[in-house]
Amino acid sequence: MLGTKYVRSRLDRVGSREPLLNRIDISDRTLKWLFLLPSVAILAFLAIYPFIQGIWMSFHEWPLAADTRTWVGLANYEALVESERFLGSARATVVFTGVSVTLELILGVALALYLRSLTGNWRPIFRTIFILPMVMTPIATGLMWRLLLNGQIGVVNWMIINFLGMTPPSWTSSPTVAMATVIMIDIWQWTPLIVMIVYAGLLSIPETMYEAARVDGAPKLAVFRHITLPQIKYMIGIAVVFRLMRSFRSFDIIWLVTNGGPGTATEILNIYLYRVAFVNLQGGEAAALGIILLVVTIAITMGIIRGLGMQ
Amino acid sequence: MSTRNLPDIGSAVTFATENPRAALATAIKYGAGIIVAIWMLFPIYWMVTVSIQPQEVIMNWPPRFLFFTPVLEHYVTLFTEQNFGRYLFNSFVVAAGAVLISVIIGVPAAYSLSRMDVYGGHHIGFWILSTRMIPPLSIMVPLFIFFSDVGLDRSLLGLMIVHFLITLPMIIWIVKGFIDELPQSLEESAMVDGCNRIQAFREIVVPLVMPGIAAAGFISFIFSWNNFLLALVLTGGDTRTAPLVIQSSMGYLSINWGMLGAAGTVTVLPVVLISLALRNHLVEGLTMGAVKQ
Repeated sequence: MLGTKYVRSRLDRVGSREPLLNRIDISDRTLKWLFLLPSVAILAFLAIYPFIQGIWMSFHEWPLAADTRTWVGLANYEALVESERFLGSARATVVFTGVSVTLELILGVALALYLRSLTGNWRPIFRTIFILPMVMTPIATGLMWRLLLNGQIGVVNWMIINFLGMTPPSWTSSPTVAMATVIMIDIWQWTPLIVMIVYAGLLSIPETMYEAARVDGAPKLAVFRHITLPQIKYMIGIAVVFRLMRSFRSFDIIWLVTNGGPGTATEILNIYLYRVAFVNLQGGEAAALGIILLVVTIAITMGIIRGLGMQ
Repeated sequence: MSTRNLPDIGSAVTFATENPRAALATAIKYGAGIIVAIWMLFPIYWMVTVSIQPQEVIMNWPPRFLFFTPVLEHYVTLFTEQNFGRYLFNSFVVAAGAVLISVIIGVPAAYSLSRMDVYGGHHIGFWILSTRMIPPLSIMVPLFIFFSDVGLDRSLLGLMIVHFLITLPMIIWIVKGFIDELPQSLEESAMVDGCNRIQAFREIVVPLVMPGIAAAGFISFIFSWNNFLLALVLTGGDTRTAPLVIQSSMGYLSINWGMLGAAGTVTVLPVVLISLALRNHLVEGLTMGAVKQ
């Protein structure tokens, strides 16, 4: 994907130096595959085998608790598309991913610009602070926020009552608020990643471009739109790809904080898939759902990668 | 909020006294920064704080933010009654094992992709990267059946094998990035001097990219350590990992917050230490080498 042109040109250069490599040509040919084989074999077992087996399973009624399996053709897919719960979880996924990634992007770019405008010792201090949330074990993140938002001992409720004089919302018991809560936690954890990626892009903009704009007296908004934004477009693309990829498979925080509830309000596809597979033990339907999730995730991320011309 | 109009932000304070508007701008700027910093740090601070507060301080309002007598009773309970050390050890065995084996088989693969003209190497590399895009649950259903059939469910070995999906692509891509940046002339001159390819790889390339290998190893260790979902599907009872135990102690009606705070603190501690040590490579690692710093 990235930098492969560079790698290619390197590889071509090796080829053009035939005289030098001639002596060990034969062992090289075997060696390059020997070097690759273990990794490719393991990843094939972990990624290709289950994918093919998953497609096969999805055409069956395949209860995980019993040894029976019945060919049902596309019935699992049809049942899913018609099921209200599947459509609900698809909607929840769109809302969760759409809102959280959009807000993270806006906030992340703003904070990256902020970070760049800092001077002296402030930059490394803030950089260190931004590193912490994104490396937190997601289960610990969920734990922290459940502690903060707890109805009896939660500090956030105490602050809202005492500092703002308002009634705190019931964080996880109303459908809309519960969705907002898990989105808020997701933003807390993942905005820093976008900050760091965009910040790396900002650092690569030559200072001379800004100086030229300043000499010309360009307004700040114009500087951002015509100098900064085009230069960090690529980094924003990378950030979006990585966030989308991970957002579709969000599980830990939602599982811990709302458990998909109340009802099925925060049950995104990944959570629904877990329930179908390992609570209801419907292997065939779970496999069909897994294939849908996989195809959608790959299609969207590849679409963005192609769209940005990153490959 | 931007300070582009200030000649030198370092002297913003002296400048501010001359110009009230600039003073306000500076105040807003640093005020906003402090609010963001508190927002980022307070949840972590509070978890650690609760873990060293006596039970009656935790359960009573108003919350004590700074002044209380710290106690270690929650940590003692955690490691004696709850036997949390065992689950931390499980997490460690799985993550360390997956990382170690991934380094051993992934570094040669990275070298092969970077240096040797592999037919379709570009596609193989991209395919390896794309395995990271797969939602884990969509492949866990068939893998779970397979692992149950061969008796690897509820075992740390089974979990470690699945964790290769996290560690292996990461290590291959990050290390490949480091090898790409290494001048090829070093190996070439070694080979002119009579080294064969394997010697050049082992004695020239590996030592030179060792910092990169270490960074890749530690970053993938974080991801493996933090993982919850794969352990949820594949382990139970004594083979549970630390995040799984935290999750299962939260289901009950009366939650022991002090002890959970302690569990959360010891679980994130290694991750925090590693990422602070690696802060200059972290983003590169998190984006599989797509972002260079």
